[in-house]
Amino acid sequence: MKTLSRKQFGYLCLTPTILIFAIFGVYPVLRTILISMFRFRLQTGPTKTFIGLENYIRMFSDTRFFGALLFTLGFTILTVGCEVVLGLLFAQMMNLPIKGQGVLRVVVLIPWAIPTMVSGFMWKFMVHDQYGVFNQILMSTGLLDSFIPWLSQDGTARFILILSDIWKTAPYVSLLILAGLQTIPASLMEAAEIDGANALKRYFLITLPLLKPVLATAILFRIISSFKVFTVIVALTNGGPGYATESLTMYTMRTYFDAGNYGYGSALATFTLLLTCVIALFFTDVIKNKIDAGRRGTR
Amino acid sequence: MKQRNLICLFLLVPAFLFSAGTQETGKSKEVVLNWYSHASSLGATEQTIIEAFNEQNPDITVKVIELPEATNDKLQALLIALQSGDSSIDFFNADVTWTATFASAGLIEQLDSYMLESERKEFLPGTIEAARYQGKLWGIPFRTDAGVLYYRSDLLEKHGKPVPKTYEELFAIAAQINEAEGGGLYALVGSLANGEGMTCNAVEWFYSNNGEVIGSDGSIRINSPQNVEILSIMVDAYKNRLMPEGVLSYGSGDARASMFQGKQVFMRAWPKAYAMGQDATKSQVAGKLGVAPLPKGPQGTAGKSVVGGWQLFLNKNSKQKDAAIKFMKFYASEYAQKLHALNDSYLPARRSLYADADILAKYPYYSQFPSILESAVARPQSPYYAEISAILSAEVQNAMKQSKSPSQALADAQKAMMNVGK
Repeated sequence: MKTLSRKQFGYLCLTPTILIFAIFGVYPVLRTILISMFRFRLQTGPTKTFIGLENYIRMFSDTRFFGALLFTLGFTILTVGCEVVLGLLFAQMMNLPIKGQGVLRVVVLIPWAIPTMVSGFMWKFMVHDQYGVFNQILMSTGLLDSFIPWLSQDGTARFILILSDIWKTAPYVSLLILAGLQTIPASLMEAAEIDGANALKRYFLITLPLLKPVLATAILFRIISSFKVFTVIVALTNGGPGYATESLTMYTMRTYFDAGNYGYGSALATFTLLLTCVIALFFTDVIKNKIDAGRRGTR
Repeated sequence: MKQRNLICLFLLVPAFLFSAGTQETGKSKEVVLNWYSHASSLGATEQTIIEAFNEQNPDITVKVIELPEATNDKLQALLIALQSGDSSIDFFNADVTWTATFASAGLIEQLDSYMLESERKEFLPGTIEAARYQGKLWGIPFRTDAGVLYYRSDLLEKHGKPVPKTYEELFAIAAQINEAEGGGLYALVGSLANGEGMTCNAVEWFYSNNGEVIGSDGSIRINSPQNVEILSIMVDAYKNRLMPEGVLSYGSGDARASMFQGKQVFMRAWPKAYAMGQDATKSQVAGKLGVAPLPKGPQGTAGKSVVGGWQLFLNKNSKQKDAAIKFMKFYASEYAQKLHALNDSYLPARRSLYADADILAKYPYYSQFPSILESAVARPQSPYYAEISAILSAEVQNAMKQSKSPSQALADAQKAMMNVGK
């Protein structure tokens, strides 16, 4: 038997992964892109009519699509923005050499460990107009004289969705950042301190720049998953009131599965994919630099 | 050595799994039917019915396979399976709104030759109507449902008020009672959260005011003066806090909770809420609930309930259609429907059971249903039902939360519905 070279052996080991990825990752994506160029509906049976880019053209005159796109973008920017700021804060706190540090790190993670559907229902109870704790507190402190229907108004429904997502995911971001913080050598900080840099200066000139690759990864992860928001909306508002909290993913799912409009649904999915890829491209530079730096370090 | 054991284990586990499967079917020449169902009260009733069926048909085994809890998830699971040509599903429970979707996609078997006209006459007309699409029969109904009005009989009696016949009367009575009781009561509640609950309520409002959503010729007729009128009445009621502030996010459970906590004078709900409301451990209004037909709008002739309920569809690709039909008919028989009515308070789809002494002894209010169901309306029958319903629900909510006027919302709904399917 001929012995394989090191490189060949590496590829051999990768074959199963590549196969699985091709079957379950690449093929469905390519097929979705293909279907997006057909008129293809459940109701009209298995016949597909090629219509080129018509589904995409239709998208740009679809007000419901624009509503969903704007909501998704707003949701993503606000949740990711707040989560990063809070994450930085929490990470600093968890990095302090205090008693009970271990407990603190576990406790902070609890919201993230709760299944989204469950935490969604928890929030639904808390913001219930009649017996929710939000309204009860506001009423008993005299700030309100009638119940706020949190999930029945556009603005408050969006606010609650964003709040619940931040509550749930900020801990995850803080944990990623904490890992980054721990790689910063203490000697650097001591040197800066001796040179007379105050805490604020040390934070902005040393900590933050060194956290950049970790932050970029965290933000990328969060943007991508925030962009696909679905579960928490199902639990809290189901897209309502009206279409006020319908996300891009939710609209896609409803078009594809509920309405059985496979052609247009695929076009919506493809659009979401392209947008996610564009966002990811912004971050590849930073992340690639990090990997390169890592390589240089080990050599 | 250790490694070999591990490999053996990997080989043995699937072998066991498969051998168990073949043993069961290889016993004799018996037929095994797969029934995709949703089990009631832990499936006890279904099992009893299957056992009774087996006494007459020992050669047919019926396996119950449970579907997901939510109706939309059920629909997705079934559509995906049937579209891929899966023949392992023989027949399945289907919502009344699915007929056009499954029939137009060619996924289910037509049942005209299996159900004689005389057999169909034994069912309530609304249930057979919901099983028809383009003049053909596609399902066998086994359970029906209709929206009804619940009222606080104690409050109406105390203040000497009649059960309202119109929505204006309903809101006026509730406002007077609320004032006399010193506040804290809402007039009406229903499951108005975005989705199917909102659609059912809105369809009832429209038809109770002589309006329509889709005409019998298939034309879209949602933007009519009658519909605008009744929607304006509802918007005003919501604005004036005659409905709970958060009602636009209420599912049927939230609506029941508000009623059962004694915060409502009236509630629109399905009949199954009655049994729950009489349970004193779960409801503060046990023994104080009345059930009546829905009120009508100013231009309506009668309050119209939406038909809900379930039927059985036969998979076009099933390889045991005759055996399946045998069981499907048995499941829709008087015996089976009576059992479900007594055990699970399902509303029977058969006329005769509304005069059944055992059922009436347990649920006296069932005697009202033949007349309610006789005039009940089906939800819009269209292969594109899911889209029609989503538009209806969202636009009515837009009017309710006052981001659009009722006439604007219905005009937009009309426009959007006319584009559905294009």
